[in-house]
Amino acid sequence: MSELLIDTITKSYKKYKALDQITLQISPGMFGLLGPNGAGKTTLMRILTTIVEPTAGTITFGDVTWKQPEAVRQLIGYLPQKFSLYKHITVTEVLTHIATMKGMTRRKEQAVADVLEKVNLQDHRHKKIKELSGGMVRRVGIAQAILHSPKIIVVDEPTAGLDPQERIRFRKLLRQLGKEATVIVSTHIVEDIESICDTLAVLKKGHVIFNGSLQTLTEMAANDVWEMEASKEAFFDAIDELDIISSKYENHRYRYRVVSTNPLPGAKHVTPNLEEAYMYLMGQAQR
Amino acid sequence: MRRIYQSLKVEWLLVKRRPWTWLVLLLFISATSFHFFLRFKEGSVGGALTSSAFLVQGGLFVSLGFGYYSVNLEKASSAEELFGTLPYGKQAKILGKLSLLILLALFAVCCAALLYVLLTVMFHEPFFYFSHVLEYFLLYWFLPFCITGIIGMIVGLVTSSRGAYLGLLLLGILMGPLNMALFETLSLWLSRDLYPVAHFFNVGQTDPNTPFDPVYGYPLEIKRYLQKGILLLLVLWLLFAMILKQQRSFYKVFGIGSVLFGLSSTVLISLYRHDDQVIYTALEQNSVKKYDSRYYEKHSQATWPTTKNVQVTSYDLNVTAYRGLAVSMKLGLRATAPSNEVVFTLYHDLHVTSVKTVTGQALSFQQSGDQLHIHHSLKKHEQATLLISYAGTSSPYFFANEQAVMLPSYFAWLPSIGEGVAMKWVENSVRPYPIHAQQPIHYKVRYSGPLPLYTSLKKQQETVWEGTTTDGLTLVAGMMKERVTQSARIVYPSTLSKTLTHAEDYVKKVKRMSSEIRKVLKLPTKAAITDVYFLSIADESPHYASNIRFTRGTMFVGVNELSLYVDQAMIPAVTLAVIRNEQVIKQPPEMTDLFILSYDYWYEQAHPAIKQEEKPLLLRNLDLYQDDPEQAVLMKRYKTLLAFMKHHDNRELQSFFRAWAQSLRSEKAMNDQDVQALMNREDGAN
Ligand SMILES: Nc1ncnc2c1ncn2[C@@H]1O[C@H](COP(=O)(O)OP(=O)(O)O)[C@@H](O)[C@H]1O
Ligand SMILES: [Mg+2]
Repeated sequence: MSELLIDTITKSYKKYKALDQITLQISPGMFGLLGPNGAGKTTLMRILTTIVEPTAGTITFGDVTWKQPEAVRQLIGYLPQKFSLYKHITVTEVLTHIATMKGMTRRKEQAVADVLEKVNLQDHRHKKIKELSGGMVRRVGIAQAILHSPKIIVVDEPTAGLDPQERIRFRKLLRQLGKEATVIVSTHIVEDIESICDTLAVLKKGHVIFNGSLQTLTEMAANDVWEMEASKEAFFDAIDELDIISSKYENHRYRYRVVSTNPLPGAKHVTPNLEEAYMYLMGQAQR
Repeated sequence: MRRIYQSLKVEWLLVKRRPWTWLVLLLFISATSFHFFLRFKEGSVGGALTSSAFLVQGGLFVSLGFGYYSVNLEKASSAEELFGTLPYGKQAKILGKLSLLILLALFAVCCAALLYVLLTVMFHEPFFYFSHVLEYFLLYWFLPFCITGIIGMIVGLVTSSRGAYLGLLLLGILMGPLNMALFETLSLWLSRDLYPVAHFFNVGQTDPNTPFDPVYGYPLEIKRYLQKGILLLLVLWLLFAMILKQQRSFYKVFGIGSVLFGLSSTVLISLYRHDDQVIYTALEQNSVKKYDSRYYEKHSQATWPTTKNVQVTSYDLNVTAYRGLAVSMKLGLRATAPSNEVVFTLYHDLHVTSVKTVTGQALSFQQSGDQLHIHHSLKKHEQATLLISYAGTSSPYFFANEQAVMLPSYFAWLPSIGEGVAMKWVENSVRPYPIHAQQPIHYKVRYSGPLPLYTSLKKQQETVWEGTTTDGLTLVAGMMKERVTQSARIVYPSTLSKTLTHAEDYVKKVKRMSSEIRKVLKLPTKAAITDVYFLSIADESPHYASNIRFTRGTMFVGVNELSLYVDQAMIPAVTLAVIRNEQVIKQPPEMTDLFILSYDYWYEQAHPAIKQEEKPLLLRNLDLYQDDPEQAVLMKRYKTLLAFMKHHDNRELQSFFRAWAQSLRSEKAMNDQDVQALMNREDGAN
């Protein structure tokens, strides 16, 4: 299977650069795009889905270049960040419609039934969109994205606004997609990446500040993360001085982790989890 | 195609499931049926359509709103991005919406048309020229709805801010019959005639308030189609440009599209700007109400004296009515005395292109006002034939274009020996002068133009008519019908066939009344009336019914859909028709009017059998203006005359009116003293 090559993509809005020379090489499987709000994730996804044109740079996938948007559109399935559908129309109706719009002619009904099964919405197929919960609408979104078995699936902030149960179910669903396609998931929630992705890139202010496997990210941070313990009062004193990335309140004392290039008194080295590594990375990039 | 059809289907599903859709449709249909019903009830079958402007205006707002709503559906349901990533998704969506818009407009218009048919059947109205009704629905309902719907879509594609609603509202006003109010103010303000601009943008009916003209029919001139064509082309091109913008190959396609658009719109615009006759009734400077009136207010004098020693003996005509009037002819002349020039009266907007002798020698000619001056020497009793061609727009009162022709014989549409001026201006209306034709003239007419032609000549072939008459030549083509009765051939508007069932009766009454008045006033008896034309000719006075006109054997009656055939109102009209000659028209109008009103009063007193729906006009005016200082002089005249009439018996009054009519018909302009002198004479005789 082909690789998705993003080559020095820049997107400027007037003077402001939402993306600055992004270069990524994305293999089939689950790829995570992590970054705080405003980092440029959606912008990149909209470029990938041909909704906006980059100011500079090229994207290719096998023989297809993004200079031919109609060809690209055949390749991709997209679940936008703020997604919904016509309120007064049933799940089956809207999926059949989108199937036609995607150019599917034969076996439309079968395809719709298949995706409904995949996203576990068979029982709701005659409900109108306005009668579905947020999580169900999101699942319809996935269903429509994978209708024509696209090679590239782009999913923007899929878990935002879902309750924990739905979120977990949704992650499972996403995970399955990675078997047959290149799936790019953007999120600002580290946990999503942890449970879904094989590789990731971290975006900050339009720059890629990390690109690699989850493991590499945690290893990067391993030398500089320390764990300490302090009383409540001491902990609040320390907040201003130290670069604290996580804390836990246990037995009237605080156990907290700190990023520091120098050893700290009373601190011991720990292996950070992904979230801590991410915090570390964001802190580093600040400097 | 499949995608467009599919998105059409989904759009329909969406629209269908909104209660709003049905509410609006129901409202539209019920308003339409209500309006149509009322109009049919008062017998205004044509007016039912031409006065439907407010329905159309409503429809325009709905279309604008619908267009706007439909392109914002995806935005509203957060599905916009998604469709943007589907192959040709946005294009298919927009085309689907466009199709739905067109279908809904079609549906609404079909409902309205069906209602119209239903009412036509219900009210036993005739079905003649139903294609014109359909054309009207196409031109003033369907196309406007499509055009504004597309504009709504364009607005929706450009912006979805709050300001868009204001924009839609303004566009709705600009593009509909309501724009008249706007441009009326603007025109006054800038003191410029902005109505042509208003007409161009108004996709609805331009003169919704004037009564339907049953001869001219619905305003379906080519120019109106061109206007809609230009606008439709423009909005379609804008819409497609916006769709194409989604595409990366935008510039190439856009370039080709622009060139195509540019070319076709240039063609349409140049056709649109082509000089032609379009009938606007009310406000514009070239409207029926204003054009001739403004012209003759300033041009009341002939340039050359009228030819006295040349007579026309024959006209051999080719008449074409298409966007205007074009005539080429062989004109037979005879000189009664030596002459080096011939001066004809010919309406000023008919421009002569060539005058030749039969041998092909070009003659020099000049046109000034309503006169055509030709240099040509004729000996006594010499006969000559001239070849004359001219073309242009006829008077808005007496139209001739691709849609209808109404050229009565007393209007100078043919070069004829006339008064040198075609009409006289009288208080914002005009009175056409009669044509002087004392001797029979031979006519041969080849006609190409709209609809069947009606003329009193004999039909020789499909498009050729021929005959000899002293009555001049009347050509009428429009939504007309003909009925041959025992006493006369009656030509009348087909939409009036129901209201004119008693036309024969009316004609008889006019004949009786006119011969009676003639006898009283000792005017020469008239040849029998053999042809009657019920036409949409205008009243010649704003003060009393003046819709009847005679030539030797022909009678013209002005009608519209709302005409009431009240016997009482016939008196002034017939009186004026009986006494009218060129001198009467030249008299100060207040003198003629005074005669008509006094005679009307006396006639009503002398004929108690005539049903008086109201008081005689003279008394009515007296009641009305009694205390108006501006009318003091007039009121004094009224009172003097009333007092005079009270004190004299019918025999005396007969002789009084006879003398008065004689004076009016003579060259000397009358004044108050003259009338007083006539009264004094009767008093003295007592
Ligand atoms: N159409 C636009 N015009 C101007 N600025 C934009 C536009 N779209 C996004 N941006 C800016 O680009 C930056 C990146 O936005 P976005 O890609 O939505 O971030 P993320 O999805 O990571 O939260 C933001 O600062 C945003 O304000
Ligand atoms: Mg985003």
